[in-house]
Amino acid sequence: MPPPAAGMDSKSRARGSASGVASSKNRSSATGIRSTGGAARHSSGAARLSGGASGTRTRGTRHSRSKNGATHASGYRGDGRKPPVYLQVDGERRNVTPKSLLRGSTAAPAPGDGNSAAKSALQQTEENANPNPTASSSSAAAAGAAAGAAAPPTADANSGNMRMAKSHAEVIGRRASISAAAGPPTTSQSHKNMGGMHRGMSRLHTQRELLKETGPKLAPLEVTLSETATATLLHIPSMWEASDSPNVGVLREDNARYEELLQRRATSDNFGERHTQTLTLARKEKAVSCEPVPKREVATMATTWDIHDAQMAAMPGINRDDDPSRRMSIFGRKGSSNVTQGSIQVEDRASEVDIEVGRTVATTLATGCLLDVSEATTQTSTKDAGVGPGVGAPAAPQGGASAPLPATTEMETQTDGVALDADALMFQRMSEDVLHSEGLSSRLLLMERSLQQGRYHGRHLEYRNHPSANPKSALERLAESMSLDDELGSAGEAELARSVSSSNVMDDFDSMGSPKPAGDDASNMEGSAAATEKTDGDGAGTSSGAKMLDMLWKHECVLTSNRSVSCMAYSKGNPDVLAVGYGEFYFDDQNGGAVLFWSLRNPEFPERIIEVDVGVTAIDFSSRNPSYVAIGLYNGAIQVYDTRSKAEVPMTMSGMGCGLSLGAPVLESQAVEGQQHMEPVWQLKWTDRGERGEVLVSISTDGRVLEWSLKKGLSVSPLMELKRYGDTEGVISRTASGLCLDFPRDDASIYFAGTEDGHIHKCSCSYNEAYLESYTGHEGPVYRIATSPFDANTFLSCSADWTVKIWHDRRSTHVINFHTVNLSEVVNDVAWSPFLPCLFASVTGDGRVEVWDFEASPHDPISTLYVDSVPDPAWLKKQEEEKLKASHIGANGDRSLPGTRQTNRTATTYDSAGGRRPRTEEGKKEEAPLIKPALTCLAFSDNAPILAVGDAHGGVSIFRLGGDVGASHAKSKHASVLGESELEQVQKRVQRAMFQQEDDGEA
Amino acid sequence: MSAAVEETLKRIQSHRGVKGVLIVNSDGVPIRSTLNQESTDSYAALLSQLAFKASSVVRTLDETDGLTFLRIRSNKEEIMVAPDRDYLLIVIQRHEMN
Repeated sequence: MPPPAAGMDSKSRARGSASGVASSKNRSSATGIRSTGGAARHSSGAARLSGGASGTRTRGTRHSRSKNGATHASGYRGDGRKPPVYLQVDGERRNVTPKSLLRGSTAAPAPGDGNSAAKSALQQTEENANPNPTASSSSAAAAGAAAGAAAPPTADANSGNMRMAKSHAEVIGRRASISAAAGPPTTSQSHKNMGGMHRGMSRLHTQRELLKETGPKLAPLEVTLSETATATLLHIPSMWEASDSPNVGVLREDNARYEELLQRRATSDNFGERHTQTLTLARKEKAVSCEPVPKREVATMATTWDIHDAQMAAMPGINRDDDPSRRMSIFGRKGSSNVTQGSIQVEDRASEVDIEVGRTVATTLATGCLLDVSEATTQTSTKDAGVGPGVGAPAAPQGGASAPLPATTEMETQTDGVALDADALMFQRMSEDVLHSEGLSSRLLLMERSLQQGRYHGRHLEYRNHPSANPKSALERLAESMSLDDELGSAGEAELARSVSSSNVMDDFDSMGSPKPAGDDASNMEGSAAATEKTDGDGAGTSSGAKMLDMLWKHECVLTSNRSVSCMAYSKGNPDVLAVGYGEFYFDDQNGGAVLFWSLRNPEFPERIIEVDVGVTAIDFSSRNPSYVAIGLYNGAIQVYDTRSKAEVPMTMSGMGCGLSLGAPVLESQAVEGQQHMEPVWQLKWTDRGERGEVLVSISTDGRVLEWSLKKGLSVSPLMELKRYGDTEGVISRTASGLCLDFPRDDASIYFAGTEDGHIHKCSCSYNEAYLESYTGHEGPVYRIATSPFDANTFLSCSADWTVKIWHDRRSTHVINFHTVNLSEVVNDVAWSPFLPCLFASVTGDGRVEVWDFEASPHDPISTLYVDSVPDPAWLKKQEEEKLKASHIGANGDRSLPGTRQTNRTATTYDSAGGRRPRTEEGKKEEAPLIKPALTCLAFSDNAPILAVGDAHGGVSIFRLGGDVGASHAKSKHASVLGESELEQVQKRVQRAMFQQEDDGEA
Repeated sequence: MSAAVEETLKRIQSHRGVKGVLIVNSDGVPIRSTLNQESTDSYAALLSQLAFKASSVVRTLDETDGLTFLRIRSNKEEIMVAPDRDYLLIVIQRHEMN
C-alpha cells in the first residue's frame, strides 16, 4: 500500500483541487454509479471538478464506511469560487461513469492540478481499500473536501427506487466537516448539497415564443409544454426497500456483507473508534409505495363554428333566433354554447317527468293496480300516434315502452314498467316538444315545396320562359321523362326523349323513363294538357306547332271545392304570388268566402289563407305596402290584411283544410250606417295619391264610389254617387249600380267606372257632382274596365252583352268592338298584357279564354282556348248525397278509408274537390255529365308570359303564352319600366292600330 | 301536434311517390315514421350522421351560415332532409316508373 501522499496537504496545492473522489474500491465506484442516478451523479462530477481556490486548509479526514466498507459516493468541497467551472460541469452532468470522472477531472480548468487530484483520488482509493484505519484517516484528510459531499451517496433523484441505505458515512476530521458544512452557504452559484438535500440540476424546458416584434398588436402567445428533467428539491431516502424491487438482491448481498464486516470488526484491530461530527442524513423509517399515477388522454376538436357559437353565446343581447347556431344546434356538440340551454331544458323536462311518474306511481299504488300507468301512457301515446289514418305505427321506443300491459301482468314487470315509463315519458315529452315546435310546420312547408319543385320543375322553367323551356331542349325532355311526372309529355314526346337519350351516356335512365301509354293522359289526375285549342288559321297566332296557350297547372285543392273564383290579383311585391278571392256572385249561393295565396312554389296548396264568412268579391294588393292586401266582401265590408302576419288558426272551411292562416285583418271597415257599402264591393283599387299616401277606392252596386284612407283606421270619404245616365224615366232607383272601376296609368285623380246599365263614366276624384265623360255602347252590365298599362287614353271594357270594346277617352263611342262570332255568353273579365301593348285577353262564361291582338287581328282572337270540361258539380253533389244515404243504410261497403292506399286517397281527394276523377273509379260509376266551367276572372303575371284564369268551380288555371306571342313577350319590357320616348312610341302604335282597325271596320 | 302540421304531413304523404316521412330527434331516434321498423332505423341512423356532416361542412365554410336543406338524388329515389334545431324531417320519394 502506498504511503499517503504528502501532496494531499492543501497547502501544497495552493490552487489545486480541494476535492477528491473518495472511492474505496473500483467496485464501489461502480456501486456509486448505480446507486446515484440522475442529479446525484452530476453532483459528484461537480465535486470532482470543483477547483477549490479557497486556499484555506481544507483538510479533512473522511472515513466512509458503508456496510460493505466502501465509500461509494463522490463529493465535492463546496466552497468553490470559480463559478464558471461549475457551469461547465453542469453541462455534462449525465453519464458520469468512473471513466468520465477521470476524464472530467482532466478536463478541469486546472489541468495539472486536476491530474494530480485525480491521481490522488485514485491513490486514496487505494488507500481506502486498506483496512488500516490510520492510513485511511490520513488519506481521508487529504481528501477532506470529499467528505462534505459524502452525504448523498445513495441519493437518487430520478429513480423511484428507494435505496436501502444502511450505510453510514462518518466524516472523520472536524475541520473537514466544518468546512463542508460552512461551504455551501458561501457558494452562491454552486449546487448546494446540504444535509442530503439535493438541488437537482434539471433544467426547465419551457419554450416560449413571445412575439415581441409585433408591437402593440396582440400576437398569439404560443406555449409549448414538454416534459423536463425532474428537479428534486428534497429527497429523503428511505430505510426500506420494496421487496419486489430489482435491487433487492444486491442490497441483500450488501447487507450480508455488512453484517459480516461488523462481525469481523469485533475481533479486528483494523477498526478504531473516533468521534466526529457529521451531518446525519434524515431517513425515513417507513417506505411508502404507491400506485403509478394514472394518466388519461383527452382530445377535443373545436371547429371554427364551435368557437363562433361559443362567442355568440357569450355575447349578451344577441337575438338567438337569428343565430344559425341556434337553428342548427341539432348538430352542435354537447358542450357547445347552446347546449347549456338545452341541458337546462332537459333538466326541466326530467324533473317534470319525475313528478309525473311519481304521481302516477302514487295513484296506482293507492289503487293497488298499476294498470293505470300503462293506460295513461297508452292514451297519451295514442293521442299522438300516427300523423293520420295513412300513417303507420309510432316509432318503436315509444310504442315499445307504452304498450298496454295485460291485466294479468305480474307485479315485478309492472314495476319494470314504471321504470320504463319514466324513460318513455321523457322521450315522449321530448317528441311532443318537437312535434309542437314552431319550426316544424315551416320545415314541412319547405319539404312540400321541395316535393313540388321536383314535380313542377319543367313547368316552372316554362313559366319563367326560360330558354331551356322554349323550345324544349332535348335535355329537358329527357329530364322530364325521367322525372316523376311526365304528364305533360305525350307518348310521342317520350319517344323523342328516348331517341335522344339512347345516344346518351345516361342510357339506364332511359329505361326508367319509359313512355306512358297515350291513354294515360286521359286518366291523368292533373289532366292539364287536355285542353282543346283552336287557333285562328291566319297563322298570326300559331307557329310551328307551339301552342299559343299552354296550360301549366291548375291551382286547386280541397279548400277550393264548391267555390267560385271571384277575383284575382298578382302581388306587387312578389309577382310569383297570386291572391285569389273566392266567393259566389249570386245571393242564393253564398257559402262563405276565402282568399288563398297561391305561390309558384307550391301549386297544389296555398301558402296563406284568409277565411271570411261572406264571399270575397274584390281584391287588390297595395303597391306602397306590398304586403297589404285589401279585400271587398259580398256584404259591403272592406278588410285590409297584412300578409306578413301569421296566425295558425284552425280552418273550419269544409272541415278539411288547414294551413297558415292570416290572422285578423289589420283594418276593417266599420259597419256604420251610410259609411260602408250596402251591397257587394265589386272592385277595389289602391291608388297612390302622392303626399296623401295610398288610398283605396271601392265601387259597389249600391252606386257609390268610396275612398278609404288608412291613416286612422279605415276612414271613408265618398267620391261619387253614380247617377243614372240618359233616359231616367220609369226607373225605380236614381242611382246606377257600379260594377267596376279603373284608374288610367298615370292619373290618380281620374277614374272610369262601369255600371250595370251598360254605361261607362269618367269621373274625377275631386268633383263628385257630375261625370266628366260618359261612354255608351254596351247593352249589358259592364263587368270590367281595364285601362291600358301603356296608354292612359285607352281602355277596354267587357260586358254581359258578349262583347269586349276598346275605347278612347275622348270618344264617347267605342273604337273597336271585339266579339267572336260563335260566342253567345257573357264576357266576365278582360285584362291587358303588361308587356305587349296591343295584346289583351278575355274570359267568357262558356269556358273559353280568348287572346286578342288588335294590331294583328281585330275581328278574331289570335287564340281561343276552351278549358277542360269538368263533371257537373251539382250532379256530383247529388251523387255524394245519395252515397251518403246509402252508407247510412247499409254497411260501409266498399268505401275504402281515405289514405289507406294512394290511389284511393287521391281519388277521394279529387272526388271531394269536385274535380276530375281518376279512371279507377270511373268504371264503377256512371259518368257525370261534363260541363264547361264558366270562367270568371283573369290576370296577367307581371314577370312572366303567364295568364291566370279563374273558373266558377274554384280552379285557377295557369296558362303560358307560347308561340309568337311568347317570343315577343320575352323581348318586351314591362309597361312600368318603359322610358318616356319608348312609351310615346308605344302609345302611337296603340292609337294607330286602334284607329286603323276602326277605319277598316267602317269601310 | 297542431292540426295544421298534421294536415301538412298528410298532404306531403299523399304526394306522388312519397315512400315515407320521418321525424328524427337530435339523437337519431325516430319520433314519427311512416316506414317499417327496419328501414326507419336505418334511415334515421344514417341520415342523422350525414346531416350532421353536411351541417358541419356548411358551417365550417362559413360559421354564420347554416344548413337548411339536404337533397340526395339516387337512381331509385330522392331523400330530402330538412334539419332543424332538435330534429330532422326526412322525406323519401321514389321516382315513379311505369
